[in-house]
Amino acid sequence: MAYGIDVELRNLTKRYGSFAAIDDISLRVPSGSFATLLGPSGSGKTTTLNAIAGFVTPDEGEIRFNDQAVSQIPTYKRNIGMVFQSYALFPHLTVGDNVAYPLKMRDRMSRAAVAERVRECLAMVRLEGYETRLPKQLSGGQQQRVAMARALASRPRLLLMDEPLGALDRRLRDQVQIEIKEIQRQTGATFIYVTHDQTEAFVMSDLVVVMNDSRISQVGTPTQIYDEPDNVFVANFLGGSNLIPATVEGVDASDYLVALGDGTRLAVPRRGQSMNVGEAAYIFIRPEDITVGAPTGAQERTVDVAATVETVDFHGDSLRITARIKNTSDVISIRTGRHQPVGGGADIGVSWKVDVSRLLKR
Amino acid sequence: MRHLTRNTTGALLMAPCLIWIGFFFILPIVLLAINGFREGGLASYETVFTSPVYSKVLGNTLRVAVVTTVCTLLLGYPIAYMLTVLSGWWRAVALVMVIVPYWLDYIVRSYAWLVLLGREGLINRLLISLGIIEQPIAMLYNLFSVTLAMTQILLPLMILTLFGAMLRIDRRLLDAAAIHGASRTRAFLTVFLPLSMPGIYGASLLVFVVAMGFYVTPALLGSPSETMISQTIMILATELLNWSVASAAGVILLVFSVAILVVYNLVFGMDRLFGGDGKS
Repeated sequence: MAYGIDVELRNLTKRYGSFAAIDDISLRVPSGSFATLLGPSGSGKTTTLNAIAGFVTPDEGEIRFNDQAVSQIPTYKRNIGMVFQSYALFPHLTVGDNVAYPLKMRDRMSRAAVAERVRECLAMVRLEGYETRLPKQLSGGQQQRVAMARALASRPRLLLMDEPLGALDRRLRDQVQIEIKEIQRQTGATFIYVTHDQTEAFVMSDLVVVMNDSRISQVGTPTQIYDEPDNVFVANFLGGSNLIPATVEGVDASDYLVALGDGTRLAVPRRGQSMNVGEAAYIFIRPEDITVGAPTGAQERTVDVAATVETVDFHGDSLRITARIKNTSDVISIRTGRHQPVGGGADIGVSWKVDVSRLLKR
Repeated sequence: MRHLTRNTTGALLMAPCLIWIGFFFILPIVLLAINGFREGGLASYETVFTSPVYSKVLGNTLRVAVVTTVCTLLLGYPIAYMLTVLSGWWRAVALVMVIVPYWLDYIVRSYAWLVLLGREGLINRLLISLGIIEQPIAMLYNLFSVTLAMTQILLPLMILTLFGAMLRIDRRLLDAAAIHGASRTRAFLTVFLPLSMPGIYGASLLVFVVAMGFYVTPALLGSPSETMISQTIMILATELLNWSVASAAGVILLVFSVAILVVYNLVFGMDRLFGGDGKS
């Protein structure tokens, strides 16, 4: 069995007055995996993390570590490491004493062993020789790493991180993401990470938990979440997406047959949510999955739609085209290679493979 | 140029205040010191420092001020801590309970102690009626009654100053201590207490300086044979008409109080007391 613990939330609810900060949340994070709670602010991700830490007592439901309920165990006995959004380094203690704090509180170690472990942890975050500095003498990035070293010092089997990179600039963040993932691999601990940044979630996670309105919207691997959103919220929250209104007209073994606003009929694979004939729906398709060009007509399982270009925007590595589907008011956005020779007002054919599209409830 | 303009604007804005303080506060003090010096010269200062009467008074003053400071700190710290833990409505209620006595005049509160501690006072009568004592205890007109009343009077100042300093301690630090293995007690001892030290110093300093110059309470509740320095100054000035020694004693009290503030400012930075970050 891996070093990390298995974390399970069962029907967890926390209310403040009549407002439920988290509402009936159930989740299992397997031992040694990197799970990210992803969602907009106010979606309940931090409350969930605080409940796991024991800072917040849930009103209903329970939290289990390795199949043991922890509700009765106070925070300080839960053996967790945590990196706070504000880092929460002890300002009156040196870097060395900050990192040694969990060792002194938790483990009965000799002074020499503590010093040795502090050295190890600081080396892990590449801050060798910073023991005697005070936190305020360090840059934001360095403080973040000290917080990381402190959280890992007593080799916790569960590490919680609450938007730890929020205060860092973009480039530093990219670098630290990779380091965090590497540390997680080395330690084998279970990591639960909170962020509102989808790239961060995708780069690091084994498991992404999308949260919205105090509930879990979808749980899956980064690719599942991105390619196969279960609902409109997830589709919209993660990157650009097209949601083309359509009506279900028929069902066969593999596909739904749907009609666009202008009556164009096309196929969408039968996966995810089940729909009834006559139901209003959205066809979900990522902008980069749409190709611009002459109708492919003959090709198997491909959809062709005629559209008129409205705008073309240059994004450096790509072009973003918005085009209106002929005879409708529905606009789709397309991401193509930067050398696509189109201009505003041009009539184009757009096409996509049936299997990259999905049908979502409207 | 711009900087200069800003300084000038600042000076102009401060001017009414500075003129007021200068004319009604600093000038009288300077005149007092000069007049006292003209009349008695250095001899008055020598008297204050060498005469056993005055050194006893200085001793009394220091003793009462120190004991009062320590008592208000020991009583005030837990209350200030509790205020930071309470939230919303409960905190408001508790704060009002701390502040309301502070609004009452020193004289009123000192008289209240007369009622409580007198020979025929509430406490003596209660103890006698319970049969615990037969003769009333002499609790009034000594340094005990003075210290007791001053502790009660200065407690709100201690609590409010400590509370202000404690509010500025990031509560997340206590969460960080807890998640990294510290029980509530250990988190308090290793994180909260050390971080509240500047508040402790600051609040103690304020209470100490105010206590040093206390007049009304020792005058009402103290004994003429065990006076504090403000009473002595009053007696010298109004009864003995010895203005030069009175002025010398006043200047010594002032210099001593200012010196304490200056030392605090050098070590911690005065702005800590008023919400700044202090010296780094």
